[in-house]
Amino acid sequence: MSLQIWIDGIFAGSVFAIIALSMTIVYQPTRIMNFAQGEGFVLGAALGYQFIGVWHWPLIKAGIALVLAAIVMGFIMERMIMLPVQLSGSKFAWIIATLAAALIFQSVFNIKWVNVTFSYFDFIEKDISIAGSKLSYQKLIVILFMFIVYGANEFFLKKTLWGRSIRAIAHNGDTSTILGIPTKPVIKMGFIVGTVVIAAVGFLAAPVIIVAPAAGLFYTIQGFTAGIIGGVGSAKGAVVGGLTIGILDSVVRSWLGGTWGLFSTFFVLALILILKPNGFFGKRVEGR
Amino acid sequence: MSDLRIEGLTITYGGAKALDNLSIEVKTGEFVALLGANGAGKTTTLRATSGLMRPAAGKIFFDGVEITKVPGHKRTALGIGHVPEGRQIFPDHTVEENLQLGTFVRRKHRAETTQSLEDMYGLFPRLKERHKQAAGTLSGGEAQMLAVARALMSRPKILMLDEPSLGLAPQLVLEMFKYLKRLHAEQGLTILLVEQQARLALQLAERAYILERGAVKIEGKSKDLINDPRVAEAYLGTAS
Amino acid sequence: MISTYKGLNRLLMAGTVLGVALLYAFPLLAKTTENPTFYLQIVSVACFSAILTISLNICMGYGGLLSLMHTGIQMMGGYALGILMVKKGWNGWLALVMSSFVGSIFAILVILLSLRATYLYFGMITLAINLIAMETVRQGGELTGGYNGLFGIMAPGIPDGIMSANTLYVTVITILIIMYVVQRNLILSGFGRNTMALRESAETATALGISPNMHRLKVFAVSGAIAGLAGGLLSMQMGYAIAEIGDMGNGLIFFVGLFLGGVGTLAGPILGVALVAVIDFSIRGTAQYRTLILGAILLGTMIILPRGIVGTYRASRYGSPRSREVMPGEADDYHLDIAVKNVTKGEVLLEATDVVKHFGGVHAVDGISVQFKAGEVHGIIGPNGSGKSTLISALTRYHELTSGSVKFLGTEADKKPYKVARNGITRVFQIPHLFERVSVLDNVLTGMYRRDNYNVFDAIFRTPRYRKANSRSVAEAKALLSLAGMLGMEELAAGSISHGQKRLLEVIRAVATEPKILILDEPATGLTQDEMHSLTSLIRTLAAGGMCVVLIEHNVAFLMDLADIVTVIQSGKVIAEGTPQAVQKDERVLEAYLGNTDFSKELA
Repeated sequence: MSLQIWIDGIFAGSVFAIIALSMTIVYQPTRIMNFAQGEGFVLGAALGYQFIGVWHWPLIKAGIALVLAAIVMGFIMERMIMLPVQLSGSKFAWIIATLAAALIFQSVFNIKWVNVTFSYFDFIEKDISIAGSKLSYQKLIVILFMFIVYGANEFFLKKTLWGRSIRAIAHNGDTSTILGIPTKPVIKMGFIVGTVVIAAVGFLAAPVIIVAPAAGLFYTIQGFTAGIIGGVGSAKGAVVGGLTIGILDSVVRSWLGGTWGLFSTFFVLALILILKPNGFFGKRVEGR
Repeated sequence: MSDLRIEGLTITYGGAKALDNLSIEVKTGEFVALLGANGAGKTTTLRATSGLMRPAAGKIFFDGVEITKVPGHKRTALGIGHVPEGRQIFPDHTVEENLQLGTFVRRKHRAETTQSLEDMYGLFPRLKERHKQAAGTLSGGEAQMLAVARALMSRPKILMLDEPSLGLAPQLVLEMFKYLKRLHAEQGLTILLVEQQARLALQLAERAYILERGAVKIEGKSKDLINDPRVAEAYLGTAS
Repeated sequence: MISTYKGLNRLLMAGTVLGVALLYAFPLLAKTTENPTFYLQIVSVACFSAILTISLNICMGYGGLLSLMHTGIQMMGGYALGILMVKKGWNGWLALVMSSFVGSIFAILVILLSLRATYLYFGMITLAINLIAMETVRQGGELTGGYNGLFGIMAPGIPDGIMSANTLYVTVITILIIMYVVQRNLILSGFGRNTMALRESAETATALGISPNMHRLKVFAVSGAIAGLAGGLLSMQMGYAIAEIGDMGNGLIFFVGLFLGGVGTLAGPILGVALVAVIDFSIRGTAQYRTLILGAILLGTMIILPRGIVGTYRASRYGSPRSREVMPGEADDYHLDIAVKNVTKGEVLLEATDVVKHFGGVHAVDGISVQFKAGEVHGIIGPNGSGKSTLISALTRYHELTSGSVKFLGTEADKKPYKVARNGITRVFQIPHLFERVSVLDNVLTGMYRRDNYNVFDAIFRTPRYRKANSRSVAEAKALLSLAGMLGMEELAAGSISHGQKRLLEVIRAVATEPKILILDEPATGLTQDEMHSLTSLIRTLAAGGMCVVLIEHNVAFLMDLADIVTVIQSGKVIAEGTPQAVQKDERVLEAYLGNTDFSKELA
């Protein structure tokens, strides 16, 4: 089996891992699995297409504009999801709210960018050769980005007071309140940072992957799959889960062709849910 | 300065009245005990004061200011410290991290909070020994000490404790209460202590309220109450 | 006021009849337009959606089971129909029945795979299975037509040939109405009650003897059967089956209809789908905005009308049930014999010997032996954290024992909590566990489920067996309500009565299970004096009939007049046992509650 398959697998896996990481960031203070998370990925791709592909902005300007747009989207998403959750009393509220948010964002993308797929040129049009296989710089950037996000997340959660507070809220909301830790701003921060992270990876990966405006739900599901396999709420699990499905998909596809790759990842998902529901690194914590 | 006044507080929970027009007061520098059988409303009173429960009626005043509508996490900054029932330490964080989480409201004053940390270690040497250990590995007594120290890290003006003696060996209980008495005497810390063990609490506090069904049944100075047969009745009913 | 309520109800019923008549007459109306098939199709599609939404309503709304695979079940039903008709030449009607059957089997398999999954993970499993199912049919080659789907399905005529559009339409409407009736009959029966019980509180349902796994299986199987049928019908109308039917994105529309109409209500699914169809129709010129508008409606519904239209109506003053006037002498019609069968007074019913329960390093129960006898009111008291609740949980098998034995009527007690309940030990928990959104009468009836000797099909078809069992149960339930002085309150939602009444209701629901031992965990908490008197006399009546009533209480005063014997527990051990009066004066007990150590010297 050629190295190219593994390289492509690691690249895809990194994308999924970052998506799963962004979901973990939202999950920590809220215990919500956000069905609308993938829409942030599409935002990154869409804006990348618009800023760089259509308007030919310089990279820095595009990057900053993207981050700002992602912050706004994260803020809106938080309100769209947390309002119904806080007002309704239903245990389905978060699922319906996140699904509705996904629908709404997806249709906005579909309307604005009718019949477009988001592709634009790589930022650095070069490749590295490794043992006869090619690793483009764009892919390398994404893989490195995964490590950066993981590292930054770990550092933040374990070494800073705010990060520890988020973990505390995830563990016991009442006690956190007693200690003076404000839960609402932390939840907003979770959504915003999560959206920025996933929009960034959409922006970086779109030159390589072909992203359609309606692809949000697909990427959400990949993120869920990675997260569940690795363990819901665990950053390490997000990385392991993401890489697992990326590599698995790539390997199975080269072996059996077509969509068997996808099939195998869902199969692994079902297996994990049945045999080891907490995933590799998850804890016995119940969602909403 | 740090007086707490609860007026006519009513809290409903699942259709029942957890607190029924409750009025109690803790003046600055006092050590007051809140007693009563289970379900009398002691924990509910503390949780309402901390902002974890919304009252259906009534008001809460702290330091002369009405805080009834102030959100919970802001009350800590005002000086209300709470050691909750069952300690509720964060088991995955280290001892030191738990203590630092207690300083969240003072996070802008780095030098002072570091000093507070050193003070706590001085007072609780056992916590210093274990300061890098995960809090989940501590024994019951150590966890209780950690919970108290953590609450103290926010430099509260009033400290509320919910059944701190629960599950602790008598020697540890003594140690902890000696420390509380010192805090009260030396630093003038206002203390509201909820305890099920009435006699113990009455030996510590100056004044006490005995709650029954969400309202004050008996109140008075500890030295008067300590031999009052009504106290036993509140727990065990009248001898027929 | 009551007449307004009745009047409104009559209005709604008239409206429903009118609506049904309109639906049937629609083809005639459609003929007046330029494109009758188009309009017929809109209504047909709405009907399929309504059928699928009904199936979602049963499993999500009533059952509380999150399913993201209903579109997948629909797809499987469609493929089953298609394969049988096109590849195997089956008759269309038989194939339709099979599509329902296939849907049911599919659902059962998924439930069996996910018995251990918690609520969230169950939803994820359904999502994964849905995706796998879609991929499987795409890879099905010859059998399923692969990516292109399975074509050539022709709706069977009556009796022969190909069905006309009109006839298909009428068939669909009829099946929808049948499904509505099926839903209604199921929900308004023991099956429905158990379903809602499980949704509201799995613990309580188990304590009443309902097996959670078995029942969830039945609920999902029924839901799957209806979804499969919807799929068969859809493929029959469209003439083909294709993987995209299973796409969850399509399924979101059903959620909109379900939540807009009112999840967990009977009429909600139909009303919601009808509204969505109307909205769909009015925005048909701007197709690309459809998803946006529907998504916004869904979100708006969650924020403004979380209960949906029907649900909000039901919760409002106009739609919510009232208590009825009790006829004088009616109470005499309902007489109940409380006598517990097959026990003699004083007989040892439950015996715990050296029971020990450790949680890690904590010795919650540290060697307790106690006997519970028929006809006795047995109090258990002890300070906070003494181990009372753990003891009871251990005895009723919610916890496994670390060591020691529990014998019920001389033999080793069953290991599963719901079996313990079925054997005759019923427990009422400390925090009210009533099924709040269910009526008072239904709450009591849930307790009688073991005596409902009918099955799902009896309930759907309202067979004589069902009718007999039902009227018997209702009469007994009313008698119990009468005993607690709550006759006349049958239709009220359990969540709307006072706290004391809720308590009493919980107790009589437990009594409805015909226990030999009734365990009440702090029943007096929050009761007024009058309510405590009612409870006391009820307990006395029960004990006089031979029942053993175990009271875990803090309110020792409440126990004084009531208990025959009191066991005092501290730190996981029995420290005293005797009559209430003796226990009250016992020095050890006083110390346990008030504290024994004299620290006055050290603290001076």
